[in-house]
Amino acid sequence: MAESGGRLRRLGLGASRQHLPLAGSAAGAVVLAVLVAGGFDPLEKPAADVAPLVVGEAVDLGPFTVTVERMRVVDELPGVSEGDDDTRVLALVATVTATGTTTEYGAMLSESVALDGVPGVPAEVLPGDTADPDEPVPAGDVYVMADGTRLDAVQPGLEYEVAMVWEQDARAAVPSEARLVLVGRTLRQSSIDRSQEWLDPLPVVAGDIDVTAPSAEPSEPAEEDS
Amino acid sequence: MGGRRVARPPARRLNGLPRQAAFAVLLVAALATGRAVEGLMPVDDETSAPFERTGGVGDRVETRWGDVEVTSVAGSTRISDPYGTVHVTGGVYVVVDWTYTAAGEPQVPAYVALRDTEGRVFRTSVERNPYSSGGAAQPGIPRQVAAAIEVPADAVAGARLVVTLETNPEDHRRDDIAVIDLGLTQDDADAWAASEETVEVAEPADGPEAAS
Repeated sequence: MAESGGRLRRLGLGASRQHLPLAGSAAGAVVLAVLVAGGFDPLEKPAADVAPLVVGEAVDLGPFTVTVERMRVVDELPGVSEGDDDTRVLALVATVTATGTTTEYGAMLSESVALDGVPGVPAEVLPGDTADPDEPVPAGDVYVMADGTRLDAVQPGLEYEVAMVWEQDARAAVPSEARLVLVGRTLRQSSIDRSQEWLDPLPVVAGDIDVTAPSAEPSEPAEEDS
Repeated sequence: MGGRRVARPPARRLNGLPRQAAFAVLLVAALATGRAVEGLMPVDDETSAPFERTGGVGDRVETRWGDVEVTSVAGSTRISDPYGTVHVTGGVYVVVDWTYTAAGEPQVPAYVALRDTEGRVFRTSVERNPYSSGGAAQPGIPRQVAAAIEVPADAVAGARLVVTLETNPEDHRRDDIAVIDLGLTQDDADAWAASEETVEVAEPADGPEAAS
C-alpha cells in the first residue's frame, strides 16, 4: 500500500515537472505575442475634472452637444406617460445636436444624461444585472418636443428640442432641485475590432438644476383645443 | 559511429531547447512575420472599399445580392409612419419608395441611408426615420418598400440613397452597395422645407405593383 502510494506520488511529481516547461513556454509565448502585437496601451487614468453645470450653456459630450434648459415635474406627458397614482415623470428639456457626420442613436444620448441621488428614481436593470444605488441614473427615454415621438436617432446637422424623462415613484417627495450628470465620450479606435467608436464614458459636467413643480392648472390647454 | 547518430535525441538539436519552447519561438516568429507583412502590404480603406453599383431614379441597379430600383421620391416636414404616428422635423423628411428583388437566396437589405454631397450619412432607425424591409424577400419576387429619413435642408440637393445588407458599415468592405442618385435639387429642398403636407410612409409589400 505504502509503496504503491509512493509510486503514485512520484508519478504525480513527474507529471508536474513535465508540465512546468510547457506552462512556462506558453506563458512566454503569450507575453511575446502581446509585445509583438504592440503591447498593452497604457490606460490613461482620467482626472476628476468635472465642470459645473450652467443652464443654457452648450456642453460638448463628444457625439452630442447638449444644452440643458429646464426641468419640471409632469403628472402626464401626452404620448409618453399615462400618469397614474404610482409614478410621476421628471422631464428635462434640452437642446441636442449630433457633432459628427453620421447618425448617432438615441440609446447613447439617453446614457449621456443622468440624475444623481434623486429619491424614487430607480435605474433600469437588465435581467441578471444589479443596480448600484449610488450610481447616477441615465434618462429612461428621449422624446422630441415638436411631436412627442421618441428620438431613436440623432441626425447630423439638425437641432432637436427634446424632453429627457425619468419616472419617479410618487411616494417619494417631489424634488425642488436635482443633480444632473452629463457624460462625455471619446472617439477612438476600438481595441477589439479597430473600428472608430465613441468610448470611455466619463462625467464631464455636473450640478444642480431647479425642478419646477407640476402646474396647478387642471389640464393641458393644447388637449382642449384639439 | 552509426550507432551514435541514431542514439542522439532530435530535441537536442536546437541547442538543447525543449520541444515546447521551440514551438513557442516558432509561433512568435510566425506572428511577427505576419505583422511585418501586414505593415508592408497596402491594406487601407481604398483596397477594402465596397463596390458601389450606381444608378438613378427608375434604373434597375444590379448588385451581388439583388436588384434595387427607386420608384419615387417625395418630401415634406411631416410624415405619417406605417403605424399612423405623425413625425415632424425641423429639417426635411425625404421619403423614398423603392423595390428590391433578392438574388439567389432570401435577403434583407438592412442598411438604408441617405448620403449628401458633403459625405454626411443619414441612416434609418425604427421610429424617427421609419424603414422596414419586411423581412427576407424570396429571390425573384419584387418587394416594395419605403424609407423616410430626416435631414437638414442643405443635405437634400444631390442626395443619394445607399442600400446594402449589413447594418454595420465595417461589414461593407469589398461587398456590393447600391448607390442611387435621387436627382434632387435645391428647389426640391426649399419646397419640402416649407411643406406641411403629411407624406405617408408605406408598409412593405410583395409584388411588382403592390405599392401602387
